[in-house]
Amino acid sequence: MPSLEGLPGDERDWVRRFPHLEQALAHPLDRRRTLKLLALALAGGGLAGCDPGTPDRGFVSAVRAAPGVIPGVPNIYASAHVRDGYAHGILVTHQMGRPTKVEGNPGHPASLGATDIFAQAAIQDFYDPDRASGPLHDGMPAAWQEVTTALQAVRAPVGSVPQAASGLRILTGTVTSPTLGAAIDALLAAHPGAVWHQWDAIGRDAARQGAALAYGRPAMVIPDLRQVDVALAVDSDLLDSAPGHLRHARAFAGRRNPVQGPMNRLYAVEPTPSLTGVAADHRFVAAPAVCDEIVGRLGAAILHNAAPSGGPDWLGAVVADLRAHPGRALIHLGPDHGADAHASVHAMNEALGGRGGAFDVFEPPDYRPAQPTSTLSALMDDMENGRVRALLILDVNPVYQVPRFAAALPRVPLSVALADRPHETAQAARWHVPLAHGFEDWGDARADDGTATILQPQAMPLYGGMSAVTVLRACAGDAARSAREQVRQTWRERLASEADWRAALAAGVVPGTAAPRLDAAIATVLPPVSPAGSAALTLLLRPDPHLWDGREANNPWLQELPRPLSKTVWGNPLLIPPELARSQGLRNGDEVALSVGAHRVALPVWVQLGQASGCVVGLLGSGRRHAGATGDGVGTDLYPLRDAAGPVRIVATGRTVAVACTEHHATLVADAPSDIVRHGTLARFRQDAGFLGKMQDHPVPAAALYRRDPGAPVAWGMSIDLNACIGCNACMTACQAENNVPVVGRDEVLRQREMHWLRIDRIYEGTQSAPDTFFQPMLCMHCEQAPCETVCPVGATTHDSEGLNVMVYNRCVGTKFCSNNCPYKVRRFNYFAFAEQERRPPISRNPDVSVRARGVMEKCTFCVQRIAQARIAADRDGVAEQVVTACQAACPTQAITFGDINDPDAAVSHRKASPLTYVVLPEQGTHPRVTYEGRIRNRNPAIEL
Amino acid sequence: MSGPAAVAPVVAPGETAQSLTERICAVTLREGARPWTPLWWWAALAVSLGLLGMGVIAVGWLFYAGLGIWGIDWPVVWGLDILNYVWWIAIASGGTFISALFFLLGVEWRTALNRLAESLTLCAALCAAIFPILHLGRPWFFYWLFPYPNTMGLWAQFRSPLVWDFFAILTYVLASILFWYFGLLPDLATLRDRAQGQGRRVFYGVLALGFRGSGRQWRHYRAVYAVMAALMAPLVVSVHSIVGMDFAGSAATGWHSTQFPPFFVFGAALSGFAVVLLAILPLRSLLGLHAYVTERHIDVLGRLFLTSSLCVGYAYVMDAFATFYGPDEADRTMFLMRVFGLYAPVYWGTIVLNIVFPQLLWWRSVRLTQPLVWLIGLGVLVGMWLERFQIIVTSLARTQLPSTWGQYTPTLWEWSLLFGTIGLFLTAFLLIVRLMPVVAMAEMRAMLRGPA
Amino acid sequence: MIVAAFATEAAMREAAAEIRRGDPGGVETYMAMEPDEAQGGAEGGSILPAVMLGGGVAGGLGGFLMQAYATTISYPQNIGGRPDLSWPAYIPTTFELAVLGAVVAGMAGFLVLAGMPRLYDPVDEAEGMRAAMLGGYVLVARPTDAARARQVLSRHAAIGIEDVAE
Repeated sequence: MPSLEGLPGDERDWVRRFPHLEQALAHPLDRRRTLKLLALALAGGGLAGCDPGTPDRGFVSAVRAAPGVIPGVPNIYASAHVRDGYAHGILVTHQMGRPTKVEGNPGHPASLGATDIFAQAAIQDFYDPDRASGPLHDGMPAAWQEVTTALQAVRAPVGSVPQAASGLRILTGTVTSPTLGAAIDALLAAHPGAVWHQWDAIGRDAARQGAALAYGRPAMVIPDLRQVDVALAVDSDLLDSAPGHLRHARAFAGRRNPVQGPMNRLYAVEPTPSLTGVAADHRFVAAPAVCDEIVGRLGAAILHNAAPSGGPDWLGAVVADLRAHPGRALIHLGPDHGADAHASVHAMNEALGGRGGAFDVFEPPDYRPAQPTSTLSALMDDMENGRVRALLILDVNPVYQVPRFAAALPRVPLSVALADRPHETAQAARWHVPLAHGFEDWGDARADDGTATILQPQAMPLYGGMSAVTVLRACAGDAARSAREQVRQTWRERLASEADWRAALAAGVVPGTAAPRLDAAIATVLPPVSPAGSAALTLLLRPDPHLWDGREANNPWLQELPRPLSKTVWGNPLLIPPELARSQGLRNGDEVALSVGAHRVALPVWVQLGQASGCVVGLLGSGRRHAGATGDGVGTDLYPLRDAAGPVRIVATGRTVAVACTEHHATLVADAPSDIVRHGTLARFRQDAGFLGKMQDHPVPAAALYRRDPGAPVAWGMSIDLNACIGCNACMTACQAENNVPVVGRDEVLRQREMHWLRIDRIYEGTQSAPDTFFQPMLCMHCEQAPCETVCPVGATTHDSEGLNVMVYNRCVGTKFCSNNCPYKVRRFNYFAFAEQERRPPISRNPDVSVRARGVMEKCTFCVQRIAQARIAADRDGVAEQVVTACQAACPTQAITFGDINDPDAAVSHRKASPLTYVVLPEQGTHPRVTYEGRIRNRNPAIEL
Repeated sequence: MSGPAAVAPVVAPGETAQSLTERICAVTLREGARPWTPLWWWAALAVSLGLLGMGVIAVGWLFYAGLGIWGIDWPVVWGLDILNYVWWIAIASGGTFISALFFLLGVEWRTALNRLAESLTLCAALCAAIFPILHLGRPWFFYWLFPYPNTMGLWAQFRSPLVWDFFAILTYVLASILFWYFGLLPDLATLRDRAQGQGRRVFYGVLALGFRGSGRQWRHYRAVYAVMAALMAPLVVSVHSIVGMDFAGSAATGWHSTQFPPFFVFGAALSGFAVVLLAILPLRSLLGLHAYVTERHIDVLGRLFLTSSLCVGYAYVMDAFATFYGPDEADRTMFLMRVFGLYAPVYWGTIVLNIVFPQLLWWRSVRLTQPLVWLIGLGVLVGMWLERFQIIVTSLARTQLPSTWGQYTPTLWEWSLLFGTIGLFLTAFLLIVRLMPVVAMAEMRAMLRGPA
Repeated sequence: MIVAAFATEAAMREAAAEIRRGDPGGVETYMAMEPDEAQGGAEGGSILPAVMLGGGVAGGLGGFLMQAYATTISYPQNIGGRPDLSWPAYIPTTFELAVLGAVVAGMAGFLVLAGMPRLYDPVDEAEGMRAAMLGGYVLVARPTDAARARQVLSRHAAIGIEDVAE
C-alpha cells in the first residue's frame, strides 16, 4: 500500500474521499485512457444500480418484490436502539424493504411503545451519507482483506514492546451485549494480559460506584415511579436521559393528571433547568456545590433523624413530606455527583423504606461492570508509558472527547478504530474499520433492567461495514463465523427451538431475561459526602441534550431540534444565568472567552432563566472536527475544558455571534395572555375541578354565526395533556421522520424559517431567577371554523368530511395568507426547495407523504396517511384499526391522545371530557379539534412560593 | 369655499381654446422644436430605466431562486411585497379621486389636472398589480385565482379577500385604463389632425379610433363619460376598502378591525393627493403649464391634502382607541410594541410624516410655497410606506402566541424590487407625459367657453 | 356632400337646424368639444347609460350567480365551516364585476353607437375637417337639395364651403 506521503495535498484529500482513485492515480494518464476509465465508470455506475444480490443471503432485486413485501404496505421488524450500552426496544417500519421509520416497542420494558429523540433520529444516522464507505490505513483506503490481516496482527507481538506488558487493549463503551461480551472475553482469553477498558464520554461511573459502595457489590438501583408518592430529584436526569428514562417518564406522567388518579409530588433541586426540574411541582435552584451540601443535610436528617438545620428554607418541609410517605418516597441524584453522594442517597432511600416498591436493587445489566483498574485513565497511563502495543477502539471517540488520549494515541504501534465514520479517533488511529450500523448486522443488548433484545439487521449494509462482534472474531482469527451465528450461539440455550428464536426476534425481547433482584443489604458505614469546593463561578459541562456526547453531531434532525429550554439549534452557546448576564452586561449572542485555568475557548452566551447564579453551563458534543459535512464545525468543542483545572473565568470579547434559535420573543413574557397554558394547584382543583375552563382572559363568543358539523361518522380530534408533557421533543422528531419534514439549516433558522410541523412552545412565567416553565406542544389545531381556509384564494386548504383541515400542496400557490390568519401560527412556508437541499437519499423518506415543493405552505395533517392506512385496512379486513399519529406513538408519557371524538368510548373522548380541558385562544372562535388538559401542580402547602 | 382662494382664477387670464390647443399640442408634438425631446426628459428616463433594470433583475432572480431570497420568514410571511402593493395601489387612488369624484361634484379646477392625475393612477396601478403575482410562492400558477373551474372542477375560493382583491384590482386597472383612454379620445383626435409628420398622424390616428367630434359621438361620449365617472368614484372607494379587508378579514392582531376599510380609503386619498402634488409641481414648470395649473390648484390640492391627513390622523387615533378599549390583550401588547418596541421609529415616522408635517398646510403661505409642499408630499409618501410597514410587519411579528413572535428585515432583493417599481412607474409616466396630451384639451375648451 | 366651416358654435348649430328642417338628408356637426348644453347642444339623449346599467346588472348578477354556482353546485366544499352559499362574502366580487360590466358595456356600446373605430371616412377628404378637432366648427350635410343647403350655409356665414365626393 503506497503511503499518502508521496501525493500532493489536493490529491491526498481526493484519495481519501474516493478510495479507488488511488489505483487510477498510480498509472500515467493519457486521453485514451481517461476516456476508457470514464466509460468504465459510467458502465460501472449502471451495473452498481443493478443489485447483484449476495448469494448467501438470498437478496433479490427490487424489481420484483421480495417475499413478504407488498408495495405500499409497510413491514415492521423489531430491534433495539442502543445508547451507551442500554437498549430501547424499537420497531422499524420498512417500506419496500427499506427502513423509513422507528417506533417504540410496546413489549419492551425500556420503551413501552415510546421512543426518545435518538431512536427516532436513528433513520438519519442509518442513511447518513458521511458514513465510512471502506477501511482506511494511515488515512489511505485499504482493502477488506488487508483489514482481516491487520486484525489478526493485533495479537502478534509488535516491535520491541515486551509481551509481558499486556500489550493488547480493548476500549469500548458500556457493554451489555452478551454476544459482544463473549467475543471480548474470547479474545481476552486467547491473549492473556489483554485488558478491556469500558468508558463512556458521558458516563455514569459515579452512579455505578455509588451503588457499589452502598450495596457492597455492583448493583443497579431502579426506581419504580408508579409506586412513588413523593420524590426529590437532586440535579437529576431521571426523566430525560437516565437509563430507563422512557419508562420512568411514563410512570411519572401516569400519576400527574388528577382526573386520572391521585397525583404524585416531585421536588427538584438543580443548578440548571432540566426536563425533570420543569416537570416538578416545586423546583429549587441551587448551585452544584449546594446540591451536594443538600444531600449531606438530607442524609443527616433522614439517616440520623436529625432535624434539618441550616440549608434552604424548604428543606425541612421536603424532608417532612418524604418522611410522611414511608415506602412511597424516593430521592434521585443525577450522575454528575460523587459516588459518596450516590451511596448516601441509596442509604436514604433504604431509610425511607421504599425498597421493593419505590425502588429496587438488581443485578446490573452490564456484561461486566467496569473495574477501577480498567478505566480510561488507566489506559492512558499505559499508553503514555508505551505499555500498549495494540489497541482496539470499538465505537467510541476518545480522540475527540479526551485531549490526553489524542496525545497518547500515536504512541500505540497498532491502533484499530471501529467507527461508523472517519471521525476524529478513526482518523488518528492507524486503522479505521467501518462499523456496521445497528440496522445492518446481528447483535444483542440489554435494557437497564436486564431485558435482552436481539437486534436483527434491517437492511444490507449501505456502505459496507463490520459489527464489533465480527471484528473481534476476526482478531481471534475466526472471521468466518458470522455475527448471526454468534448471536444465535449466545441464545441457543434460552431459545433452543427455532420457534422460540423467531418469537424472540418478532417480539423484540428475549423472554425471562430481566435481571434478578439482589438481596444485597445497604452498607452500614458509608463515607461522608465530601462537599464540593465552591468557586465564584462554576462551569458545568453537560451533554448536549440532542447531540449527546457528540455522536449525533452529523444528524441534521437532532442539530435542528430546538433544545428543550433554550430553543437554540445548530450550536452550543454557553448558558449563563440572568444575574450574570446583568452584572456583565451580556446579551444573547455576545461572545465570551471562557477559560478554565490555561484552557480557553470563545463561544457565544445564551441567557438561561432559572439557572443558579454562580453557574455557567457548557454543552458538550459540538465543535466536531470530523463528524461529517453536516456536523463539522457546528458549535464549540468544550471537551478540552473538561479535564482542565483552575478557576473558571468568562470575559466578553466584544464580538457577537448569531445564535440560531426557534423562539424569537423576549425570554420572559409576563404580560402575555396567561390563559395560553392554563395551570393551577391541586388544592384549587379539589375546590373546583373545572376552574381552568373558567380561566378566560377574553369574552368568548357564545355561538358562532356559522356552524357546520362535518357529516362523516368519524371526527378526528386530539387531546394533549400538559400534565404529562415533559418537553422531551420525541414527538417533534417523530413528526419530522414521519412527514418528511425538511431540515433547513442554521442560516435559514436564523432567518426564522424552520419547518417543524409540530413544535413545543416553552413558556415562562414568574421571575427570571426561578421562573415557572411550561411546555406546550403546538401543532395544527384542525379548527372547525378554520380561519386559514376562508382566506385561501384557491381553496388549497379545506375541510374534509372527517374534520381534518387538509392542505392540498398541489393546489397551493403560496399566498401565505393562511399563515397570517392562523392564530396558532402552525403553518410553515417552504421558502426554498428545502427537501432538495437535504443531505439524505430519497429512499430514506416516507413514501406515503409527499415531499413538498418550493413555494407551498405545509403543516400538520394529523398524519392523514396513517388515517388512510387504517381506512384501507378497515375496508380490507373489516376491522377498524386504531389510528395513532406519529407524535402520539413516540410520546413517552402518552401526553397525546388521538382518535374519533364522535365515539363516546374513545380514549380521546374521555380525555376531552376532563374538567381540565381547555382550548387555546378560544376567543378566536376557531373551535379547534385539538384541546389541552391544563397543568395541575401538586404544591406542598407548607412551602411558601 | 371662501377667502382669496375662491376668487383666484382656475385658468390664467387671456387663455383661449386656440391658445390652449396650441400650447398643449406643442408640449406633445414639439414639431420644429430643438431638441425634439427635452434633455430633462431623457435624463429622467435614463434614471427610471436604470431603476427599472434593477427591478427586472430582482424579478428574474426571484423567479429563479424563489421567495427565500426575500427577508420574509415565519411568522412575518408578508413583507415588502404586500407593503409595496398597498402603497402603490393607494398612490393610484389620487388620480381617480381628482378625476372622477370631482367630475361628479362639478369642480371646475379638476379639468386641468385630471389627465395627469389619471396617468399617475395608471402607472401606479400597474406597479401595484405586479406584486400580487410576485408575492406568490409559485407565481407561475397565478392564474389559479381566475374564476374558472380547473380540470378537477375546482374553482377559485370566493370567500377569500385575496379573490376579492383580485377582482378589485382587475376591475380597477381595466376601468382606469378605459376611463383614461376614453377621456383621451378627443385629444388624440386633435393630435392626429394637428400632427405634421405622417408617422405621428398614423400613430395618433390609430389611437383616436376615428373620433371626429361629430354630434353623434359627443352625445354618446358625454353620457358614457359621466356614467364612467360615476362608477369610478365608488370603485376607488371599494378597491381601497377591499385592500383594507385583506387585512381586516384576517385574525391577526392589529389587523382584525372594522375600521380598516375606511382607514385605507383615507390613506389612499392622502398618498394619492401627495403623488399628484409631487408630479404636478415640477411638471408645471417643465411643461410650461402655469396658465392651466394655477396657484389656485396648488392651494386647493394643499387643502385636500391637509383634509386627508386629518382623516388619517383620526384613523390612527381610533386605531389606538379601539385597541385599548377592546378586550384583546395580544392586541395591546402588539400596539405597545408598535409604539415603543423594535419598530417604534417606523410608527413615529408615520405619525410625524403623515400627520405632523402636513399641519403646516393650515397656512396659505405654506400651501403656496411649492418646494415646501413638495417636501411635505414626499414626506407623506415615505410616511404612508412606513404606515404600511407598521401595519403589516409589526402585526405579524407580534401575534397572539408569544412563542410565535418574530421579526423581519428586508433584503437587498426586496429593496431592489421597490426601487424597480419606482423605475417602472417613472418610465411609464414619462412616456405618457411625452406622448399624450398632458391636459384634457377638449374639456378645457368647453370650460374656457365659460358660462353662456 | 357639403362640408362647411363656421366661426362659432351657434352659427353652425343654427345652420344645421335649418338645413335639417325640410330636408330628409343627413346633417352632422363636428367640433372639438362637447356641444354646449346651455345653447341647446344636447340634442337627443343617449341610450348608453341604460346599456351600462344593463352591463352592470349582467356583470353583478353573473358574478354572483357564478360564485353561487361554483360553491353550491359545481364544487361545494367545506371552507372554514362556512355555509356553501356564503353570500355576504360574494358581495365585493359582485360589486366589482358589476362595475366592470358597466364600464366595458359603456365602452363597447360607445364604440358601436359612435361608429368607431373608423379610421377612414369620406368626410376626411374635406380640407375643412382638419379644423374640426382643433377648435373649429364644421358642418357636413348630405342634402337632397344641395342648392338650398348651400344657400342656408351662406346665410349663416359659413367660412368655407366645399363639395366632397362621397
